[in-house]
Amino acid sequence: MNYRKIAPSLLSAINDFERRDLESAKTRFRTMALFGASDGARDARISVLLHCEPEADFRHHADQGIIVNQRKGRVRTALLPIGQIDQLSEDPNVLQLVASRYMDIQMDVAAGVVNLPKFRTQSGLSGKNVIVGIVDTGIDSTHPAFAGRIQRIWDQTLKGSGVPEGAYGAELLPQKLAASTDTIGHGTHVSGIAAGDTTTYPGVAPKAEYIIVKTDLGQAHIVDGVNYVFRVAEDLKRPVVVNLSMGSHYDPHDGTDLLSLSLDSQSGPGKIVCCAAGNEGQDDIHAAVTLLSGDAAIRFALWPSSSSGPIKGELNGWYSGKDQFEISVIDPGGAQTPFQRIITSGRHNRDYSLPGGQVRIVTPGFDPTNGDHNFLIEIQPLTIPEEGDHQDLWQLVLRAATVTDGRVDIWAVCDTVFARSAATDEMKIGSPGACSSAVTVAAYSTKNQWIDIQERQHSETFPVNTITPLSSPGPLRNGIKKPDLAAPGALIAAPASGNATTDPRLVVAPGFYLNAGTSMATPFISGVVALLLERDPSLDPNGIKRILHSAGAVPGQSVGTFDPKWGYGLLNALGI
Amino acid sequence: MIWQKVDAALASELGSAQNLDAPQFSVFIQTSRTPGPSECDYLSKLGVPTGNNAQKQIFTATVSARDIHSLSDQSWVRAVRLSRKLQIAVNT
Repeated sequence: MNYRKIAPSLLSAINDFERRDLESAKTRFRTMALFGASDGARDARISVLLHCEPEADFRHHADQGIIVNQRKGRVRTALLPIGQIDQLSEDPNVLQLVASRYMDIQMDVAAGVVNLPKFRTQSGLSGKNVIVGIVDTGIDSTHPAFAGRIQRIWDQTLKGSGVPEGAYGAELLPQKLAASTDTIGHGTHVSGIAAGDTTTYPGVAPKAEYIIVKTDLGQAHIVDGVNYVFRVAEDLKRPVVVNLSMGSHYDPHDGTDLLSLSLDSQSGPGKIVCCAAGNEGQDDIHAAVTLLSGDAAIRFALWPSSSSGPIKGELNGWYSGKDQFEISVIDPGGAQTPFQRIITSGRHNRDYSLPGGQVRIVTPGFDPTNGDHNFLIEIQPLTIPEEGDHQDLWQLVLRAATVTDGRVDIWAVCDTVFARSAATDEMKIGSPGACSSAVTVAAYSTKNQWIDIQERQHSETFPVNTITPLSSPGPLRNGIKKPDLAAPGALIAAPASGNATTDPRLVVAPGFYLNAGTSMATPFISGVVALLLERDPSLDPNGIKRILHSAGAVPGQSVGTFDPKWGYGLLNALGI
Repeated sequence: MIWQKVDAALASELGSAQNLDAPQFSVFIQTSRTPGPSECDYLSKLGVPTGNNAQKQIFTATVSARDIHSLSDQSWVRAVRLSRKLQIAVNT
């Protein structure tokens, strides 16, 4: 017997059996899926969850009465005589054995916090005849939570002739859905929160149907994906809400980037988009300065983020089209580039070699869409600092040339972070959360402690029953009020993809795990929007927002009061 | 080439382009008006799907550096911007 591979409760029950302490064994096994054990016989069979190598073949164990129900996958189910747990635990392809327990209906606490169960009971709404579009990392279409409700998948990453919205990828109809997988798991989790139909951790709109786009996360392909979902829903004559649990800080943070403008132009009656506010609430990614004359220096560090590849620093700056600033960069050793003014003819990028690294400064003229000025700084450092080592600070230097307004906002992207003294805790909602017509969602914490499937206790340090610290604050650079509202986003239990590697600490039931972020809050609202569209398929983005804005409140504030972190407050489903 | 129609990120990428004819830039194309038939033909030749979407003024395409030069020279093209990759908004 390989004891290390057997979950504690299962091991304890087996020990009772082996000691013939049948009363204790019956008590322990009462919550486990045990068959033929009325007399405590050792050949009673038990249902277990098997954590194993994904390609392992267990068919040779059939001779011992061990039936593994799936041919592939990291988590499988098996039925076997209790006496054969010993044999199975010795298989080198088995990583862990956990008893399959009888589940209570476990509506996650999140839904109750916003009165969703009461609202659904009172209204009778379930998302029926509404399409939920998920543009994300794909979906595990074999998960029971989605059975029979995925209309089609456009997998942009597969080879194929594409769809009318883009001649790439492959469109899969219901018989072929399994050809597309979700190896990251994000899209499966998000899909389950919005509309999963399961008694374990039910989604918000469990009778809605899905159109899925597995995307490579390129902005243009996301636009193509949303257009695809809208077109197919129109063909099906159904109202639709599209969920975008993703973001970036490459844009002007005013909703005039072309991803946001495209979403604006495609949205309308019965066509709604919900976007994540972002998870940069605790990150020093935004700096601002008001400079009417002279110079100002803003310090920042380069450090390797989680992304692979060579380190690359990037600053994305925006200011009024009425002003002109000159831009320079100082490396950690004090070497400085020349000041670069706005370049209105020919190429507007210049490259500089400093002892600390290569610097490219790009200073185009008016942005043709919003009329403002943008500058971009890219840095490839020669030395790679250790993570968290902010001693080697670089400096961005702004020099006022012609200034009337004076405000400059800068976002640190890629492997860049501002010095704490330079950073501000505002304006951290980028595209597509900045999209004017989108419902932009902040995250609220409802759970910070849990017991995993192996019965180990865990906790996170963030507080519950308040806005999640990581949730990105608004407003936008042009003063537009974002986010729109807050919804439960930490920690949320939802379906796990069988093709993704899931941290076992976060697995809370067979096929379900916990995750946190505005990624999780957004599909909660997408599900609520699906319920609203079931009630009134003609609702447009403004109509949806009017309902949602008036359905919640910031703690201690009256309904309709905006807060940069909360938006118009936590959703209260009884108010919609 | 009208550089002012090209955003800073795309300008930087173009500065590093080795092959002018390889369709390697995923871009947004913003037009100043709804494209007419000849303009739709032009976009179609670049692989831009315009069919049922002719009322739009924002299009997506994967094009070469030479295509971007040509696009920027069209009077009805307002802006050409680099499409970059977003990140999923999850924290665990």
